[in-house]
Amino acid sequence: MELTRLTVSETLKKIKGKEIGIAELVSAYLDQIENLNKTIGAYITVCREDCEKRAEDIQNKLDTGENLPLAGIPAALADNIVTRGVLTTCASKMLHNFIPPYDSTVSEKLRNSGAVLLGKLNMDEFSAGNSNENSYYGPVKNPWDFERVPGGSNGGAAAAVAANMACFAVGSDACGSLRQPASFCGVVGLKPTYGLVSRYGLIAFASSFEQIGPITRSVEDAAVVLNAIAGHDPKDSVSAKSRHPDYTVFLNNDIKGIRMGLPKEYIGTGIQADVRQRLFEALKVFESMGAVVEEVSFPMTEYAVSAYYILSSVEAASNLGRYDGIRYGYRAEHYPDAGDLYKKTRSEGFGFGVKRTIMLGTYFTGRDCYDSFYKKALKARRLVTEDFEKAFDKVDIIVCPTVPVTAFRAGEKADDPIGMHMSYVYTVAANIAGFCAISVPNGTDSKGLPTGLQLIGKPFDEGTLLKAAHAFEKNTRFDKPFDVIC
Amino acid sequence: MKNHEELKQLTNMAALSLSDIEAEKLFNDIRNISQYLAEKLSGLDTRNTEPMVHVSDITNVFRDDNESDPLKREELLSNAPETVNGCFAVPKIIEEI
Repeated sequence: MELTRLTVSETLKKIKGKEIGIAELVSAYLDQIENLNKTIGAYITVCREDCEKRAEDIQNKLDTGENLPLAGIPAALADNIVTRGVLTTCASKMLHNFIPPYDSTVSEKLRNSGAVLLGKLNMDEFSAGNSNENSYYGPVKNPWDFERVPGGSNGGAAAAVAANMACFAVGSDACGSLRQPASFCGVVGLKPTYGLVSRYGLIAFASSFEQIGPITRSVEDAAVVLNAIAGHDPKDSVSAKSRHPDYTVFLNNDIKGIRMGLPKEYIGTGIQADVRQRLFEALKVFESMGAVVEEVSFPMTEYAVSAYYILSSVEAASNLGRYDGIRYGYRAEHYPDAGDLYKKTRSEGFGFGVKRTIMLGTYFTGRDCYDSFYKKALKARRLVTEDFEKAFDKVDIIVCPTVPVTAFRAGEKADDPIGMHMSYVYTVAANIAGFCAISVPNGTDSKGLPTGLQLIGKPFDEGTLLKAAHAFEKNTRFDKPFDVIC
Repeated sequence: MKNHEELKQLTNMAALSLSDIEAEKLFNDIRNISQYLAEKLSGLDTRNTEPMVHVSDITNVFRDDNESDPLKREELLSNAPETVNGCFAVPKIIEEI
């Protein structure tokens, strides 16, 4: 039995049934990381000693009858989620030495649920990127094909879960940063509704778009992890006050009568032929289970990426203003005065992609650009949102591919920032409007690379979203990448 | 982006200093990207649309004025590159007379 190939739910059953011990399980994951991380580069930090000790603690708690929902599950967090006492770099030289004195709410919740933190995952520096090629700690490779990117910004999270180097991972999604890598690596990626999961301790990039969510090997696992991390938090002022249901209750394989909308703008030009083919096959699966698929229209689609590009750069430029070499992180060595200290620290600490984002964000809010770029993009944001609100009057769920293409080759889009952003064309609207969305594996293309199916749901309707995703998953079958790489 | 003078001002506002190679590349990137975005958005009629800053309509989230358990001073200072007498240290910003 390969312990590292089990899902969260399968692992929990074996732990609770005393078939496997937590120490044995954690050790199997540490071995897998030891064997593969040099090649794949998914982890920046591995907490070997901490997690061995923690495995023992959790096992003791379990043996004395304590009930923990994620008891002993080996998990990893993206390196932009703050972890008390554990190096948190955001994949940047700027935070190469940052040991947070506090925990993010998500980290605390996972700890209280009994999860074991294996380590911190690679990503694009400060989330600025879509291919995980922009990390101070080196690029992440796609486990299905090492020549290709794993997607981004959470390439480390998707690659780790796909290559069985973590039972599940948690990261953040500002325009598709969980769903796009999940699609490229053949795993499940869930972006919850804005406000469902606390962002306290998430190192801010594009604050009004980003939301923390899980990357898992099954939809059931996504529901189990979401149960553990969702909920109101007074430390995040936009956190929703409503109580959340037990999401596993929705996984009943009954989607009869669910109305699904297929956006006609998403199946036109620019989509890889076999990705489109897989989509239509998926629609047949849904229809065979009694769902009703109808066409919907999002005329504002072509403006969504542009609006996001402008607004996220502006928010990031503001958020990254805090890195000044005074309170934490990198500080330049030689400087004649305070102004020079800030400039040198920031210029040496940030990578080129981050500097470009800061410069663009500063440019778009300048005197000559404020109305024509920033304000125009804010208006486009409303129009894109209204498209979706209209569609949700008619349907329960939007169905489409997660990304128009499968994983591209490393370096292929390095000098094409706009082309790079187009890989978010189907995912970004859920962030613009704050809706929940999930990517589930949907077979492979002609090269054998995975492609994802995206479902987008109404705000706080994760129940229906997970129900439909789970029903789809149960009626299809896809091999795991472990078979490909080992 | 009209010229390198504008880039210089922008760099200053962003509290960055760029190498010549970075400056050249960013000048071209900002020009190309902003031209692309301007063209793209010019086709969009937004005359009757209000800006949307945030998905949530929450305003002024306050908490009760209760004592809480903040981080200890030494924890807060633990990541600082330089501290003096339990405070963050910054280079002198006021000139001596």
